[in-house]
Amino acid sequence: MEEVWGSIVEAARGLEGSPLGAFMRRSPMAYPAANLVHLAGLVMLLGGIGALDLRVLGLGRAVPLSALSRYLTPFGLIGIAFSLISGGFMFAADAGALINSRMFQAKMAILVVGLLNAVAFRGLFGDPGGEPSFGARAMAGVSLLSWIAVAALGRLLGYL
Amino acid sequence: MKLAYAIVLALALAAPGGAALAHHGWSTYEPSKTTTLEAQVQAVRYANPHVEVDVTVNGQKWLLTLAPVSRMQTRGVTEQMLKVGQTIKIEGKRSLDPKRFEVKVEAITVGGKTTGLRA
Repeated sequence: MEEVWGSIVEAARGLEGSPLGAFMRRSPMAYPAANLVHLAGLVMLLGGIGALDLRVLGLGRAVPLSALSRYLTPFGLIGIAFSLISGGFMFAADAGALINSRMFQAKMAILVVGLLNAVAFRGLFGDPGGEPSFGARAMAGVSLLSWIAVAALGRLLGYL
Repeated sequence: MKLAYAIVLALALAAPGGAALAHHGWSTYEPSKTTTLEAQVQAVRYANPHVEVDVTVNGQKWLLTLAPVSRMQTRGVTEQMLKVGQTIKIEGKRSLDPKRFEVKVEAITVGGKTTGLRA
């Protein structure tokens, strides 16, 4: 376990020392640009998947669930792609310090929970026919909470 | 929602002050008391997300947190001006953590020219 962690820290330091890390620190516009893409990704993810989660939880029953899911899911997928890529770029600028931050570690842990939950939800309830079961609603709740927590921790990283 | 709030709060309280991570905002710095330092530049990291300068004053090492690279350049405090050995004067707000010798810089004077760095 300690060895695995050691190699993760090592990899983070390597990334910080890489040309990408240097570019993210040196370029005046790369970091702010990545920040904007990160925010756009968050808005698409939370806006899309958050609205879908609320529908699964029982809000807005007038809207057919399967149609809403087909409409909103692509936004969530594009949002997560934007966030992961831009987040990786910003991480490269300061990876050695970030990897040891409890807040960053918590953010990554909850990110993994959110991603696994999303994959499991799609596997279990692929195309929901009628109203969602208790299990589906519970997972929508986990989804909503985990994305809010990931967003909040990300924002707080620079402040605490 | 209460749970999410509790999680975030708990993590925030559990988080140690990371090296140079807390750079955004002013909430973790002295609200009203201004700190002024005059010293020679010891080391410079002219980099994003924030430019940092190390100085030593009366045997105490200080970390000076300045603006992001783009704002430093726009306001005219270039990398060439912040050479090691250059005397600078800064005004800013100290970290609220008494064990942490860090000043978030509001204004820097280099070569007789004073530049404000706050948004």
